[in-house]
Amino acid sequence: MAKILSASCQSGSVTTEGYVISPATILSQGVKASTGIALIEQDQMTYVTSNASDIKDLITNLESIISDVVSALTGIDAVTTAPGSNAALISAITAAKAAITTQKDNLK
Amino acid sequence: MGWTYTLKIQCVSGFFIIRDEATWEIPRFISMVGLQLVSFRDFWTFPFLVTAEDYSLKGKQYLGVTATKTFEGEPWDIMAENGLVYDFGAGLVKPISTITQHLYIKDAGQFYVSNGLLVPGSLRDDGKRVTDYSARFLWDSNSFRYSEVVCG
Repeated sequence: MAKILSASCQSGSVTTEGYVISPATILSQGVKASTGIALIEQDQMTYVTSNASDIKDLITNLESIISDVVSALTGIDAVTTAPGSNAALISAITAAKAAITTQKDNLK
Repeated sequence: MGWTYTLKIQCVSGFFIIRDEATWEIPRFISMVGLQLVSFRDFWTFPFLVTAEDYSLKGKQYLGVTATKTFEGEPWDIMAENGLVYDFGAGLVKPISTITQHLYIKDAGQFYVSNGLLVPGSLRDDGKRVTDYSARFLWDSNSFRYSEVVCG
């Protein structure tokens, strides 16, 4: 039965209880610092990262991008020959951003 | 009380598994041999060994010795992987290479007999070391009958 231990990983190096375990199979990119679990079965070691922080970072970046798009569209809409013609589009994008924010705040 | 050879002592990669068949055997063995035993899982062993974890991490202490290998498994598997044996005389787990005792057993036909319990890691004349054995305690002669001694 495999032993499951809390672990961390950075630059491809897996550490548990303060000791580097090597060679370990890393089931992710393993580049940026992460936390997860190490599974040790006999002399085989596997590291599984927690992707929660990656997902939250991704959503945060999406929020930022969408905010910028909304701001740009709002500015363009104000100076166009038919002001307000993009209001529906801006509202839709704003609603999409709100949905993404809600998702970020309720990550499983 | 029957004086049959029921108490079975197994040394598995330097770890000890002792099984009795009657309740009087363990206390009598402890009294006769002077080695303390405790119940562990479904067998008896030395008190020091019950703290053995089911994994070792290279660089971390395992039963008082710095592990040389990361390994998960039964304590005897981990001890084998890390080259460790239990020296019951010292009450310590040691690297097998540090055991200095020599193997003194006399051939008794199809068995080997010794007055004392063999320390795992004991050296044979050819330089090989005892890693595993199976023995019965002889109640009437206060000695051990070995049916299998593995050296590696």
